[in-house]
Amino acid sequence: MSALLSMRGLLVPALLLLGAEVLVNAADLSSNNIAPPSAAFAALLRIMLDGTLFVSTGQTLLATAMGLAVGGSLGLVAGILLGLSRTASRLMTVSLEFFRPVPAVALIPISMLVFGFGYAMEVAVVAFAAFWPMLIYCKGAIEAVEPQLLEVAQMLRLSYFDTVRKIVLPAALPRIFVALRTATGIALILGVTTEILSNPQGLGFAVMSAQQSLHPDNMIANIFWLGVLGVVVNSGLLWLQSRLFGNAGRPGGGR
Amino acid sequence: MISRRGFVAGTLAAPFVTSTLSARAEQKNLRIAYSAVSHWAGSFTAQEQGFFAERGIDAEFVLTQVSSNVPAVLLSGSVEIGCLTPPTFFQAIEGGLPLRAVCGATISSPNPSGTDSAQVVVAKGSGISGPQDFAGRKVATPGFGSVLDIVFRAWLIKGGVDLASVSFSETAMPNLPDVLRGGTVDAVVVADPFLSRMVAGGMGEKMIFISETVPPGTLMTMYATTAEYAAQNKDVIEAFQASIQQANSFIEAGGENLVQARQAIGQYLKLPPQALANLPIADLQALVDQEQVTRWYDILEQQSLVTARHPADEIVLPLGRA
Repeated sequence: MSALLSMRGLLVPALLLLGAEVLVNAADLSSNNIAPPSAAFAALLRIMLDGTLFVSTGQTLLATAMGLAVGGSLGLVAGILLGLSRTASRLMTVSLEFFRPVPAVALIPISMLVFGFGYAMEVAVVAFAAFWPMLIYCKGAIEAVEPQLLEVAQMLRLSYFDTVRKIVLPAALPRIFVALRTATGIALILGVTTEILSNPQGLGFAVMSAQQSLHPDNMIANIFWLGVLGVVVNSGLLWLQSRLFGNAGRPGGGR
Repeated sequence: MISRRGFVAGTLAAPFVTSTLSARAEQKNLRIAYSAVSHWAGSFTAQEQGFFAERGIDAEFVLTQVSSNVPAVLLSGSVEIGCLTPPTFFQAIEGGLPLRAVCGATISSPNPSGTDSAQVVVAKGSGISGPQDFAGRKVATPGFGSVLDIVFRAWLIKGGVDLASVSFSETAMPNLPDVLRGGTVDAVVVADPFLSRMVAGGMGEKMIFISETVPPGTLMTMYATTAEYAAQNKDVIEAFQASIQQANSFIEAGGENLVQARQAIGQYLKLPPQALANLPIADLQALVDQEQVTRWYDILEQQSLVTARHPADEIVLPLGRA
């Protein structure tokens, strides 16, 4: 985070914003999609002060978190089961490979028909999207657990449940956390996409409705805020990862 | 244990509380899904002028991204009334979805002098002056299968143009001015409020196509519900229809009423004041009759978008009295 906010790191965005300000004002563009950065920042302040930005942010984060909780939990359980059982893995491979390439956005019309507007529709789409990375990463994480550890569990005559709880999960947890980070990014993208396309709530909807109501400054302010939100969520997860696992969660770490 | 003072106060207050509660109970909640265009001026005005409330309707407007979402959200039960276009409605019926037309919203202009609130805007110097000139050109429309897209194609067919010779692309309405200015396309099919802004900004030359394609007074936008809701809530549907008719008459009176109608539109579309000030309001009409239904089936059949026809009395709810 500190590296992100270093003076050198801020120089390029500052120059880009300055360039955009000069360019947009000089070109005198009257577009439905372009506004100078100064107008966008003024709009950002406005929607912060009237509270609409925080309402939208809360809606997007809540739907994303719920979808992540549902899809992530199912993906975690499925990943553990398939990671521990080669038979289950072989049995499920065809079914999983059939559904995995289905883009989550393709489910939006079906989800809208079943659930209508609101959280349930968005949660269903986000859950589907979050399920796959959690499943694949968790399965890989479980399969990468040192065989000697499983042999120790056998020697100690631990039950299946205890083997998972005491041996497998602690050993795989750093990699599972990486899965969670990946799934969170995907969940946030799908949440916002669902809001842009169909669900009348959240930041995605705010972007879309600002464009339709001829307020490009408002639209850019919401897009900028989405970027800030992405950075904050990812930085928070990275911080949590380093606090919980140190270097173990990083690629190549923990070996 | 209730004290004597409490009992007396309660007894005195009871009639007021009861009347307030019964007044609230009489108000029926009606959720209306609408897209960000001014064609729903009738329902916006009915809400802002209190016509809905007078008839016991507590309307709640839900903005949806595109009107093609409406059949799905109606069937999901998220809303009771949906604002949509005839192609979406008739294709939903074709697909077996149990929808019913509640009433019309807007019609094509009976005045053929070019007051349509949607037109095709061609790039300056493109040399396009009629439908035949579109052969070999690139045109952006605000959505394949949208009412404007279908009527524009019908205009080309009527003008003897082979649709295969025209390169169509789909672009969201707010982006249409940019793709025309950027030279990506030769023409765009666009509606207000974007049309007025484009023409005022000198971005291109407009050409009428709706008035030349469909007879004046053809249904362009409408309100629909599910067959199940219509059967179970005839009183609400009649109240909705009557409110829309009252709002239409209110707007058609012009003058100050028109200013108030624009303000009502502004409440729901959140347009900047300069875009709202001179926003044209399309001609309004609540009646959807067999002729309107036949006209649309003719257009949709010509483009192979429907295969079966349904009579109006099967899919259009009778219009109650205002």
